[in-house]
Amino acid sequence: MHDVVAFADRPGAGSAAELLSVANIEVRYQGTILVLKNVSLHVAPGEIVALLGSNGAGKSTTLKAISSLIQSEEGRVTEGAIRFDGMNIENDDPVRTVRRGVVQVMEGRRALEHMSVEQNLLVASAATRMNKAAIRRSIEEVYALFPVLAEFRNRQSGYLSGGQQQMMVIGRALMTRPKLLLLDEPSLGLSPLLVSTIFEAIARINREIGTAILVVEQNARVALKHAHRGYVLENGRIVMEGTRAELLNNEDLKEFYLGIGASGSAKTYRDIKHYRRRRRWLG
Amino acid sequence: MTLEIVLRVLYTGVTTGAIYAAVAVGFNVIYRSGRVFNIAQGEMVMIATFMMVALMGAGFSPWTALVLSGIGMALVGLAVERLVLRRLVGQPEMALFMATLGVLLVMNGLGHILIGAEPQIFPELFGRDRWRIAGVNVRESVLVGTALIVALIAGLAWFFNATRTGLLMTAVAESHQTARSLGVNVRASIAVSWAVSGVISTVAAAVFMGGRMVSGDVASIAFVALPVVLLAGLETIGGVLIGGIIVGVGQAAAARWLDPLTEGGASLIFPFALMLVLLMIRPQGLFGWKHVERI
Amino acid sequence: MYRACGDFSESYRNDMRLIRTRWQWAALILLAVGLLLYPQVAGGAWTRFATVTGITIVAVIGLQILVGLSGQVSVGQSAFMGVGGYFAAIAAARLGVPFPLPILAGAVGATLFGMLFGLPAARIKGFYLALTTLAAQFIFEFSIVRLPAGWFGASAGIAMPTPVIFGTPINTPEGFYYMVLPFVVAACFAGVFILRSRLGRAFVAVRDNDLAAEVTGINVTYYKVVSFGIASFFAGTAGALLAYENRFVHFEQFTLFESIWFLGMLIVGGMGSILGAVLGAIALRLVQELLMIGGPVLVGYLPGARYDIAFPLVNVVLGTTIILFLIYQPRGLAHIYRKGERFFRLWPFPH
Repeated sequence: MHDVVAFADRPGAGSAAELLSVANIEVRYQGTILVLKNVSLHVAPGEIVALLGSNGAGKSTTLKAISSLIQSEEGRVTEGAIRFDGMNIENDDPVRTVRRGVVQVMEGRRALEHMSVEQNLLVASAATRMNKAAIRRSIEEVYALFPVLAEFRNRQSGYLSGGQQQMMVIGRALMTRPKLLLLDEPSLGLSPLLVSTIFEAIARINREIGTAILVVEQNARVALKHAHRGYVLENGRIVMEGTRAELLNNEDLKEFYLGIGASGSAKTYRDIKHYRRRRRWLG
Repeated sequence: MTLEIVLRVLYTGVTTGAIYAAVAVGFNVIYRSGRVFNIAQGEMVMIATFMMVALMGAGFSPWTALVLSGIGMALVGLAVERLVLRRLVGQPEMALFMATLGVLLVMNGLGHILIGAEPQIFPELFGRDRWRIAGVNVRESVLVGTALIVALIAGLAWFFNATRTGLLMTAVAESHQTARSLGVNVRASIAVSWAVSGVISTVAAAVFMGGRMVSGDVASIAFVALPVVLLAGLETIGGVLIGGIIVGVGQAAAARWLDPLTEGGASLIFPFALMLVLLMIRPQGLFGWKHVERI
Repeated sequence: MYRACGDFSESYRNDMRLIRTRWQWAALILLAVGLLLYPQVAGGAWTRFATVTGITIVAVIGLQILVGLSGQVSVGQSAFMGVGGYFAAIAAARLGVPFPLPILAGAVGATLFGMLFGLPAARIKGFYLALTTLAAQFIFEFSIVRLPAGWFGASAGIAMPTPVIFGTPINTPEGFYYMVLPFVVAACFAGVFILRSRLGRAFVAVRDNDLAAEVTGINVTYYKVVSFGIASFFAGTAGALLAYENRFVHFEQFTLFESIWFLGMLIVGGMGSILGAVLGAIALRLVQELLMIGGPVLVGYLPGARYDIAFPLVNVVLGTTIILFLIYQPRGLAHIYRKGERFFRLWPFPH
């Protein structure tokens, strides 16, 4: 379980072993609406980390705090620090954050609808200052990863299917040559088969390119199948963290996120009460 | 004889349509990036005119005056963006639109205050020859000016669809947030679009004004060009040429065949009527982007 | 609405009351007496100013219902006003309709014209709609100028007969002031009642999210067209009053600049409140008047400046005011007024 120790006291805080470390951040919208409180997490190089939680828990806000995209929603990190590659990046310019190697794939497949697939990919090379040949190579890499995109390269992206659009936006994010990829609900509205295709692609990106990935998911089962570690976020706080094995074997998580009852399928009132109590202590 | 009339109508229609298109594309370049409909576009054309007149009055050659005014108008555009619109980032589109109404008032007033009252004729920058081709009286300055506008708009269309910077600006047109998430500098894109629009208004002024009286009424060209903007759609670049030609030719035809019956009213109302009808059928204009709304 | 301590509502009727305390009654009576006595104190020029400002208030309240309440931007309010003026002029001068009725004719005529331009709202949104209202301005101007002079007087305009009330001809500034005042008061009350009615709530729903309003069962197109109609009714009334006050109608009384100034009045006064419309209209008309008086004086100090500087100067000042309000005080004068009211309610014991 997550122990409530101030981040600064923890040994190894911000060490080189961590690519990203989020330390006790507090996020407010419009200076008043408190969304995240004391959220701490870290991602090591080459790791896939899942961020689980129910609706409104603050998962998306956490990602947007890291990528600084909360700024355009009048949000700010009001306390704590976000360090990436040894640099403080909280409340930084979102464009500079992309240049540093953190890119977010936003929720809901934001295709640039009136542009072709290839133009979508080209746009994302803006931050990298690559030369033409390098851009070409990157595009071919994306096509190798998602062959279906190569097939539709000149099609207007608004007319792609949901799954193809999801592949395109992930590929598009890769065009920025990220060290850390932030994915917000890649499974949203996709069929189970497509979800596993997408997650296999995510695992391949991690394996083959070595990109670290922080993925927000509702679908805990799929996320934990591929993630190395995970966090559970509720009401703007981290309530649980652990390796894949730890989380998969956790009774509460099984009960509430994987839908497998501790005692078969029967959910007793006592279990819920026990969980509620824990939520109260930690949340 | 009838062929001659048709040719005359086409000549007038295409050349005025091109001017409408030049003004219209100034609206669109800004709208695409900033989601702002800059209603003060006509005032930009007016200021550009006055700037050229002042520079030519100070002894600069017409072409130098054109180039210097282009630079000057780019700065004016940047100033408006920096002083007004950047401070309203995040406000609803309506507030931005109202702000440009304020800019319109300020520019219109300043233009009238600062510019001398002596009546003068704007020189024809692009040649003074007159020809008669197939029964149509053709002016060199108009032909060259039209060609210049076509080249300008074609160049802009190429820029936005094929060059890297242009693609980034098109991405900004699609969605500020998505563009930002990919590392595109949205603010810089918006600033560049205002500067580009300033340059466009200079070219539009130079072509439109050739041989006309200089006065503050120039600004109303923007309102006459407005039907072209809405007809073509707010996001298109190349499409304004087609929109401009449709409106220009339609207006010329109305002037030739309907005006004698209505004491000159038909040709003036035609563009607005066409625009209203077309918008009822196709609200996003001929080439504008259709945004799917999800509930 | 801010309420005094100890002022509770025990029934719906009670809750809807506009005037709740004795002090409010006192303030209202004081205001009424002030308005009635104003021409006796002000003198001819300022009485005329008040009359024109009152007419402006009527038009701006209409625009407030369209823009502030229903969220439909219109740059055609001045044209709608013009249509009202012309309808009234034709009724009064050509058909000889007696006094109060031409105003109704103007209002109804403008309403029809306005609803016509509200119809595209069924399909068009946002800027596109705002710009079609701009088309209303041009269609209005061109129709007047270019159509045969026998129809709308073309560029000569139409002369208005002197209004006669109970056998008394109205032809002094004071007379026009008292003629316009009841219309202004009625417009204010009508505005407040629309704001608080079922209609007003539907407008706000359409403004805030028309898609959500549609799925809630509100006929969005209907309400958009109705809001155009109401706005034009106010505009038409104002146009007819202006025609009487000016003693003639001419299209140059109803320019695009007027429409922009009306929008500026909303911004300066505050969006969505009747008080805002009134304060904004008074504030900007006052600025305009002062510049018209001060402009020529100022010209004397500016070397080389021309004498027709006043009008452009008005535009520069109003434009700057609009921009500054949008940036620094987007909620307008009404908000400042309410903040002041709250401050003085507690002053001098703020705790």
